[in-house]
Amino acid sequence: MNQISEHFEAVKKQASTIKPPSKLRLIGSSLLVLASVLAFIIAIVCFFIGIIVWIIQYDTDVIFLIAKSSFKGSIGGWIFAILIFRSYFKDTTKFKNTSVLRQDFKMDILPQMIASTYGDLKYQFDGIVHEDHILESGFFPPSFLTSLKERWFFGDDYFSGKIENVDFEFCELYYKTKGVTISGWAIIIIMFTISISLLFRSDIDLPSLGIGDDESFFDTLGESKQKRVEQKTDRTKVNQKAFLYGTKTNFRGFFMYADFHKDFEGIINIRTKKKFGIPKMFNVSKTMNKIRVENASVNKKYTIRATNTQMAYYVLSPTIVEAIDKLSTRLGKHLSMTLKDGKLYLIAPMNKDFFENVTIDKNSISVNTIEDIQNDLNAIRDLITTLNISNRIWTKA
Amino acid sequence: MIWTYNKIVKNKNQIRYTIQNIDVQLKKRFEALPNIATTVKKYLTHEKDVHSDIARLRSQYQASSTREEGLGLEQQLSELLSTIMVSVENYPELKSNESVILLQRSINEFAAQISASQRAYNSAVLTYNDSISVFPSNIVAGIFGFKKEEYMSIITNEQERKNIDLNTYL
Repeated sequence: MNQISEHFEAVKKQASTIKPPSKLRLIGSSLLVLASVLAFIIAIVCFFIGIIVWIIQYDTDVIFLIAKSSFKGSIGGWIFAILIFRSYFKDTTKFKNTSVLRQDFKMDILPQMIASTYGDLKYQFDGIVHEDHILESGFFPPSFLTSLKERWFFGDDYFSGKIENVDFEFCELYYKTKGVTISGWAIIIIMFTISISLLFRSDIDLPSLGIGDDESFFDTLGESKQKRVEQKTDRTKVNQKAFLYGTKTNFRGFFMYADFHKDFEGIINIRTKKKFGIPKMFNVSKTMNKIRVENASVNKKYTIRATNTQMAYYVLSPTIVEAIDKLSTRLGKHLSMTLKDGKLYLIAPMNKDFFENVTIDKNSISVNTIEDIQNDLNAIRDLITTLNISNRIWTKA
Repeated sequence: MIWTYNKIVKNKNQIRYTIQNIDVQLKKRFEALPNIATTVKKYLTHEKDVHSDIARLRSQYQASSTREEGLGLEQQLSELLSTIMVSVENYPELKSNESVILLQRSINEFAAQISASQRAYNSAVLTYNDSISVFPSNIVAGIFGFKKEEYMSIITNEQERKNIDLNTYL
């Protein structure tokens, strides 16, 4: 325990020296942008005034000089503002990715804490629940657009083993896609439509696109391939957003796969009604039977659909329904579940990272205590005990 | 109007379907009684009354003509089976007996399945009653004479089954 306490003390000490980037830079660059916009407006106004004065044949030298200086000042201002902005955001990203003795924590301290809480439990700091289980859960059905993209899952803090006699796997999960975004497709469609409409205008000569020139085509392909190999994608980055093309984090949260205490065949989808991320992500198949349970709160928060009504009511006993309600109060309304062939798949999006010794916000760094980590660890047991899936009073041996 | 009428008919058919499910579950439970009786006779020799009660309930169920009667007998059977479980508690040597464990599992399973089918029925009734009560479908329901259906009280509740904790035996 001494080593654990010492570690947290050392983290506290080291973290106190780390400061977020000063906001002065952000304010300064914003003021610079404002000044540049103002200078640009002055330049435009002076330019038009200068033209009017030139038409009525008066001296325009001073007016054009002001316009020219304002324009130059505006361009200079923009360049400076961009440079300052860039350096600020670079430092902010660096700050967000700050880690304090993370390796020691993940490789040594956390395993010790897990062992003292759960005994024999497998832990892997960079592990992930088997991808087959993630796909079987049906939480991430590929839509038409996502099927055109490269998609992958990335895991963190993977636990597996038995708690209260229940076999389970748990990890923090990230679902990422890389490719053209909806905005990107919109631009492509607009450009395509414009190109097609221009093609039908016989009075416009379009330059040759060079298609059919095999040599240049292969040259370009070789070059882009080379670039693709060189540009290694960091698949672990979180909270990424892509505008037209790029890598996007569609889901970040935890995923649990566990053995359910009842034996059944079929699928029950319990999905949050609250929309987030890709709306398609957590949707349920409308071909399944809709189930209404005897708990108004659960009916309000969730859409429940099952392949078989009798089986659904058998599995979703009043105790389980009550547990779902309790969990959604504790973990948020985004919690969703799939019950499939005697297995439970549970997912909940989260903004915070579990099992970390420091939490980085936009403007602050806070050190987690031993109790915080212990609470994170207890949350796993809590999921199993709240759902009462350890109580095998039914047919499942 | 056709769409509303079809929807109400579909909801009514769903009730019929869930009723059939209840019947199937009840039948299954009473058909399993000889196995329960055999286990009781073999291991709970001291509980002679229980054995004769099981036989009586089974023959009464076979003679019953209405669903209500069947459900009434089911309630009596649930109480009787709870008594058996309490008896098992009094004989520690039986707790580890495989047949007794299987008996307990079957009892729990049947109770859960019957409860599930009753809940499915009540849910179907709720959907149907809603569909004939709300505007404008209540007009169509009135024209074709659709009437509200009664809910069923759930006989076996979760609490009863929770008392039989097999976890300690496994």
